[in-house]
Amino acid sequence: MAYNIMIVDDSLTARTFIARTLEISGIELQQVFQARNGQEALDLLQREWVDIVFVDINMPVMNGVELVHQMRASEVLKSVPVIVISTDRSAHRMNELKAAGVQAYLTKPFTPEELKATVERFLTPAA
Amino acid sequence: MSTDSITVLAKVTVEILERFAFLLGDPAEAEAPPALPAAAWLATLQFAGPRRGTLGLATTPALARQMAANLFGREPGEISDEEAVDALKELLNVTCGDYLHELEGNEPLYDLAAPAVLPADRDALRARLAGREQFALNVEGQPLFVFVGD
Repeated sequence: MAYNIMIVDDSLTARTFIARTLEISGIELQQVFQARNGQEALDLLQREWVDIVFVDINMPVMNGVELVHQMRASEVLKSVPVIVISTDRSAHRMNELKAAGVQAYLTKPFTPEELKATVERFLTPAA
Repeated sequence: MSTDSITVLAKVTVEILERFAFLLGDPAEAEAPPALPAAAWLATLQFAGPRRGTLGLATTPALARQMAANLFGREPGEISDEEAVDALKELLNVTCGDYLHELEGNEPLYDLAAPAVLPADRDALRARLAGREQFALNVEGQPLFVFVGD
């Protein structure tokens, strides 16, 4: 099964790094959507169905925490898994994001194996 | 900052270069650092938390382009200035996150400002490095200067 994935980060380099790591990880990808901030992501999510969203925290226009709040308030988007990818490892931030409805947290840089293991927690079909 | 913190920064920078940008960094001798380039890009990032300061990277546009090429899976000649600057910013961002984590662990909350990159000639670079804790790496034949201070 191939998956639709969205990457939300204001850095082109970060989006490219995540997209390339996804490809290398062996996860079957149907389409990879990219957005530069939370608002662009919400606009795209109105039109495209995605199986999982990778999101940075610090972004202009709309940051990652606000994006997660908006997704969790939406009947359509509330069950879409969100994985935060950030350089911030503070326990305070992780607890804040967990409370907001984030399913997992990866710190940059990460290996394809770490990425795949995290994604498979949410995308592996039930037996 | 202390000798320990600059040692941690050197270790983290070499690791991030390798894991993130697929580049090998070779620490230069403190007594014989590489020559300052005539034209460099200077990337800085301010952090605030239990420690406050500015972390900076300075290198040649050629090395920034090589980093971006490795990250994007393209040839350096195909990389625009905008892409190379973005790669340098992201390298600094990731390095700063790892550096603070190595120094302080998971408990403290840090705010990281958005990285900024400016062109710098040799004199500007010398002035920026003066009086700050620093080290240099040789990366693919190009210098990378790393500094931290107020």
